[in-house]
Amino acid sequence: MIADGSGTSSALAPEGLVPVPVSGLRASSLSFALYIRRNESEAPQLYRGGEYPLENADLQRLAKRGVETLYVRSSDHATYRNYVLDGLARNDRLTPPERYKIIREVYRVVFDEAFRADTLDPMIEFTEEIGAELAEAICDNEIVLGDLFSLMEHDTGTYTHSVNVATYSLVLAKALGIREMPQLRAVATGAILHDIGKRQIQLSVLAHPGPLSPQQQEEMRCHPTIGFRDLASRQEISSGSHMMVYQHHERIDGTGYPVRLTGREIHDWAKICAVADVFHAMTSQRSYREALSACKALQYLEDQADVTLDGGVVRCWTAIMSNSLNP
Amino acid sequence: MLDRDHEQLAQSVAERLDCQVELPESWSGFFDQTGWSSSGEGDRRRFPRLKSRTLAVLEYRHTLSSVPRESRRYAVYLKDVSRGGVAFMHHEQLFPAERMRLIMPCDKARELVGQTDWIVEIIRCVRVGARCFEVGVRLVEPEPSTCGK
Repeated sequence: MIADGSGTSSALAPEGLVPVPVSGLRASSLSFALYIRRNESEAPQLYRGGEYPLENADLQRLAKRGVETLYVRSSDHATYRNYVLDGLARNDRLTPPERYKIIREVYRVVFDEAFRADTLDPMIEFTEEIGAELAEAICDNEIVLGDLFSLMEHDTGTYTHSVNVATYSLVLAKALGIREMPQLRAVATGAILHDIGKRQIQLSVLAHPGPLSPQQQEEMRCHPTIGFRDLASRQEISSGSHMMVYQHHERIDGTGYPVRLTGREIHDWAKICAVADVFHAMTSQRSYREALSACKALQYLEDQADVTLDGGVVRCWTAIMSNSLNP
Repeated sequence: MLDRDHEQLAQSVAERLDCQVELPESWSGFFDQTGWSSSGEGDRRRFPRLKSRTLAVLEYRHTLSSVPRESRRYAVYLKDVSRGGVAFMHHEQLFPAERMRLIMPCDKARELVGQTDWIVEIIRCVRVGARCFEVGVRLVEPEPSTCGK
């Protein structure tokens, strides 16, 4: 497939194949076959068998032709993922944003499959894996949020939203003093899962163009309760992560949902998730409105500080973003 | 007859427990209301609800790892009862999927749901006042320790 300027997100994968970004490949031996699509009208063809190593010259030729996406068999995706993550661990020349981008892309396919699965098991497994990877990529490095913000996709697709909210939540959690990696992983887990209850909301409501009717709003407002209930028996998920799922729409003045909790009744991590969620929602394109600029979204958050959103979390976020956008 | 004894026991336990619920001032007529609750537009409930405004006993059980609970009994105010579930008022938040024991000293409840001592599962919880949460529960099964009485 020829470069589409958006990584693999818009690549329509032929059946049985999943798109993978060329940026995640390196000159090395492979244990999976790669396929290439020369143009949109043709089926992908074998590019490199798993028994043949990939050379630097191959990568250079692909770059010269503007090929950003290749394909692997879906049955090979787990092998491919391990190959990429192993490469990330060895490659100290990658910048933190490059590392982050590769992690995000490599998990996209896993998320899509897990989100559609009948049970929550694949989703939990996925969340723990990507949560750990994101926590390490973001919190082990002095990452500049402005760099990340510019390479993030700003749409409301479930994967984009989950990963972006997890990214913002991690940056916030770290800035607010959460330092232990198990806790940061738990923050990432809760943020990735925060909208898991939407799996059970009708697509006609989720994808409704324009403002929702009162009945649709009522249905949409069930998603934190559904998410919490579905995860309730999962002992591997921490209490804080559970509360991020349940309370990310609560507001400190009691105007939120589902319970109408106030101030201290809301878990600190849910307050972090709320700010990240609102910021990403505002800076994302909707079917009925353009994405707002980061500056306008920050202005809105400042207006809500100590009114509906936790003032300390908002001030921390505006300080981080202001420094990142105007270094 | 044993059922009637059980109801009286439940009533006396509920009265002895300190009910910490503070109903909103605007709910002054709460205990006077009787009869069937009217359904609003878009109401998706399966069964009609009977207003049953009386004390009941809620016994906490620890069923979710994310929500620590000590085994304790509280007096709650029943609001209404249907064949599938119960609504009651409690002074603190309960979480979806928690399971607890609910003992209802109420003839009308027994007529509707067969018996008054149930394991219930929390479905929803919404604040209506500073120390007042409306809790909706699903009736899961009769409390095993009283089955057959």
